[in-house]
Amino acid sequence: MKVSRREFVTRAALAAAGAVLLGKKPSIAGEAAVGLDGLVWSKAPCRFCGTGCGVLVGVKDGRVVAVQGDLENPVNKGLLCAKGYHAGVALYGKDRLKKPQIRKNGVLTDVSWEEAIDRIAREIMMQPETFAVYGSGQWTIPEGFSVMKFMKGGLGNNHVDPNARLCMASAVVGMLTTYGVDEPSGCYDDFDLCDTVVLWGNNMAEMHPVLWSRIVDRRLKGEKVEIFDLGTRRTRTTQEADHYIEFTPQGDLAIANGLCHLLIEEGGVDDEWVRKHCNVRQGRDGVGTEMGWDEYRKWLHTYTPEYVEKIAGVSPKRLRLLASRFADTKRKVLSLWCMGMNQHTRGTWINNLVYNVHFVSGKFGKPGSTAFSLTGQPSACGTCREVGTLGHALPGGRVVANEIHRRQCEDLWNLPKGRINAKPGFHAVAMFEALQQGNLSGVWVQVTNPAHTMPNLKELTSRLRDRFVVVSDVYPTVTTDLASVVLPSAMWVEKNGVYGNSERRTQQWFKMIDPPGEARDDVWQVLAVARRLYELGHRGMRNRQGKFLFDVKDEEGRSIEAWKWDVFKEHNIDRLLYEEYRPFTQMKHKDVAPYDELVAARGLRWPVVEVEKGRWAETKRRFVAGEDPFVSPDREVDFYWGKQKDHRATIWARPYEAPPEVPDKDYPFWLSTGRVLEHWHSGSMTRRVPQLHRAMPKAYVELNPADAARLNISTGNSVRLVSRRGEIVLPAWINGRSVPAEGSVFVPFFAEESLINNLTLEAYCPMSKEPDYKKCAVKIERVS
Amino acid sequence: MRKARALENSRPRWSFFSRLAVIGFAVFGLVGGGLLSEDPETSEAKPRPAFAFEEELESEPSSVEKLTDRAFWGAPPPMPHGFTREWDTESCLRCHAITNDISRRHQALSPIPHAVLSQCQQCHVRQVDSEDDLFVLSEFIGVGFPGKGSRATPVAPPTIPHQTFMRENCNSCHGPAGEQRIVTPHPYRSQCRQCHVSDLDREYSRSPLR
Repeated sequence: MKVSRREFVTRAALAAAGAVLLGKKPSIAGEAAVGLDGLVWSKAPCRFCGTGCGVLVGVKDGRVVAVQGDLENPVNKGLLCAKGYHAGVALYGKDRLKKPQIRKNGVLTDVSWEEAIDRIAREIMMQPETFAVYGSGQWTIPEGFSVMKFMKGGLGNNHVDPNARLCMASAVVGMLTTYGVDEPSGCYDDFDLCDTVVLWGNNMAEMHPVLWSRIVDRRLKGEKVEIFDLGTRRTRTTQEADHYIEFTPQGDLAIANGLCHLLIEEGGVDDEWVRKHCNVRQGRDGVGTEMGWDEYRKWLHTYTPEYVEKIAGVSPKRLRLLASRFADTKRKVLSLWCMGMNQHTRGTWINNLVYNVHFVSGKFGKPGSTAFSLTGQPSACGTCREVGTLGHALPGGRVVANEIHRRQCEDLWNLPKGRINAKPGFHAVAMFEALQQGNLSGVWVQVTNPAHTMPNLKELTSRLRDRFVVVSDVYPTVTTDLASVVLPSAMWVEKNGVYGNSERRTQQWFKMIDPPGEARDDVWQVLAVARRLYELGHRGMRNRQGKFLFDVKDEEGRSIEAWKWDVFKEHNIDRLLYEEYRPFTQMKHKDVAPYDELVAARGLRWPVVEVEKGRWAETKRRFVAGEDPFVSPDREVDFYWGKQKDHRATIWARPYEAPPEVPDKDYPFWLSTGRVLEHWHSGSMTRRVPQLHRAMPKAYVELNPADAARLNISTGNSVRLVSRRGEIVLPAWINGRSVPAEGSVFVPFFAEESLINNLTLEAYCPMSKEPDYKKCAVKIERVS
Repeated sequence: MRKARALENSRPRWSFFSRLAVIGFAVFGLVGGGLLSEDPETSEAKPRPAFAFEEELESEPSSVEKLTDRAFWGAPPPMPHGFTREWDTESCLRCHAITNDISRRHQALSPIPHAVLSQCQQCHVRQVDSEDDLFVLSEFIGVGFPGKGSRATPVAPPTIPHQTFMRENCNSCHGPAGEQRIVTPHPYRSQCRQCHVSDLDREYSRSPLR
């Protein structure tokens, strides 16, 4: 071990004491600082969204007692949102899970860890090929990595997928098809530099409040930032926008093509940029066929402003206004999006098309000009995307279908040749379909709540009780209600961790307090089950030398029995797993920083390379000369992973396609779902914070005032919503926080007593397999 | 077992949605009709004055007392009262703006202690539920008031016992609108930090970086 957590705290305490004597200020640049009041302050990234704000967590007598924004973290510069300030409170809900439980005679009964681990291992042993793991973008990097090694390197099946599939899979496939490698080119610094922000169906004021403040607070300093809000609902974000462009759901496909059409026909193409850095392709899949520029231009002729108006309901005047910003060569334009574009049955296409607009106008890879995909979970990027906890993937941008990739991973993991299965595992929706139909016998759910968040819940989760379902969580949820075994987990600063945020920033934190009761780290749980399988004789739990799969070695090269809790908690296993993972990241130019560099920094944006002995440099903008160390010296912009191996990004000709379910006379309204500022995801953490619960105690349905008047519904009335899949009764809120477009309604999804996902549609993008939670048809009636 | 409790609570005066209705009605009053005039239920069933929320304000404890509702000392205080519009930073500043004009200081109702930021409701969330109606009880115990500053001699100015980030405007808590025991005895002085220096170990996040 280089430096353990304990040493750090001791050192910090001594430093602080010394500082008092010598009259120096204590510094927490490295790690922790102790105040005279006995509070130990340590850095961590926030537990909630993908922004990755830096927080300082104040600990006293083994408990978190305060949280403040970290001024030194460049992401948030000291500011947090209501959730972030209360992240420490979320640890202390009275019903924390503290004992492992097994369902006996239908009742979850407290058991010992040994019994729970043994039960899980024996169940897996019976049918290892039909056992899956369903995780999330809240897995730390070492957690996701250990699951990947356990499943793909050990169990020999690829049935690992995360809830991130429901969240940013379309952004991933969008980037892969556009420039051949996942994750954004730009970074948050571009938010400080842009002149115009274009929000594609994105309510940043509630979903990414700190980043939103980063943009709009610029106006307080006298800077001009113009904001276009393209949406289907007027939100808090709209209030700050200069232009609100309301469009018909799915009309975004036509808008993006219409913008390219206008740029080409009416002027605004950056010819040099397109000629040097782009190729053009057409097709419905990820491969497509080559297309000439003139051919593309002709193809775009369908997307006249008049056609766009017909499809998307946006007037030619407004479309031209938006196009003019891209056409302005002096203007720096930033596009931002999140679930509005990703949760879309053509999510990959709309991602491609937004890049098109930026490529055609040359608004890419320049400070302040880029297209940037925001993420909703703290490590959707770090874990799901970089570690690759997806059915088809392996760590470091590898895929199971590629033999060379499998060999590379087998070598790095020290596994016998042929261990990794070439057949991709189920993606999220298919995984739950397989559990319904019995094609999967069991699933281990970690750090997420699928019985709350999958679409079309009854269809996809009603038979979970009949399968072997293990749930590792910190609180009871609707998913633990269905579990065969419940494992109590350590949460956030109760364990060591590493997260990766939206701008490729990897951030590390140390364990600060002990988990409550018998709760234990998710990494340990995986190691313990793997070890039990090894003891039961599962051949996959052995490496090339026949030793245990997780042959964890300490700094001195001695093997550690990390599967024993007493041993595990005495070591920083996170550091060892992270360093084992790091070489994977070097295979696709995603080099993450060494662990010890992360300890000293407020996160570092990969690729991080050693520029001289002991000095590591991060990368603000990928593919850009002078910033990205992997750009060829002869190029100013280099898409070095471009699919056509020509160092170019692809402009895709993707047509408009209608959504699978549109309102009709039986189900006349659009239903869209989403989050609210106060709650995060299924609310299992934030609803246990009194201040947040009291601010947003229950779900509601927002209606447009015109629709409400027509249906004689006013605020507070009970309203029944019915889709082809399910129904729900909710109180109406009219002219409240947001106003949906006429003909549409909005319902937040955080409330477990009002599961709106009983109504949503499980149709997904055929390329990314990400379902569309933003569009389905419902009918509405007033109940009382 | 957790029990998700809906809001049909026993609280006698204002339920969540009747409050919303009042807020909505206040908007109605402010914008002079508009969309809400098409909402017959609101205008008929709730014949309350446009500024009914002010009446509510008076009957609630003052915002200073309400600070005890914070999860810990240093957490952004939740909003203890209603607001006229969902998004309106301007309307927040109408009452909470910082003023250096000594003659007007007493008018400010807990002026904001930090620089003006655009999104008040990013951190300060409105409390609509009653206090006893939690989703699940919390066992969180937050850090309390930081205590007194130190003095070199009995007549020396005390040091600042807390960090000053996001608390740059001393007047917010120590001015006339503050809590009695921490109000400055000399409100006419405006350069507080000329005499009151920070306790060096409180300024954690201001430490020189690496």
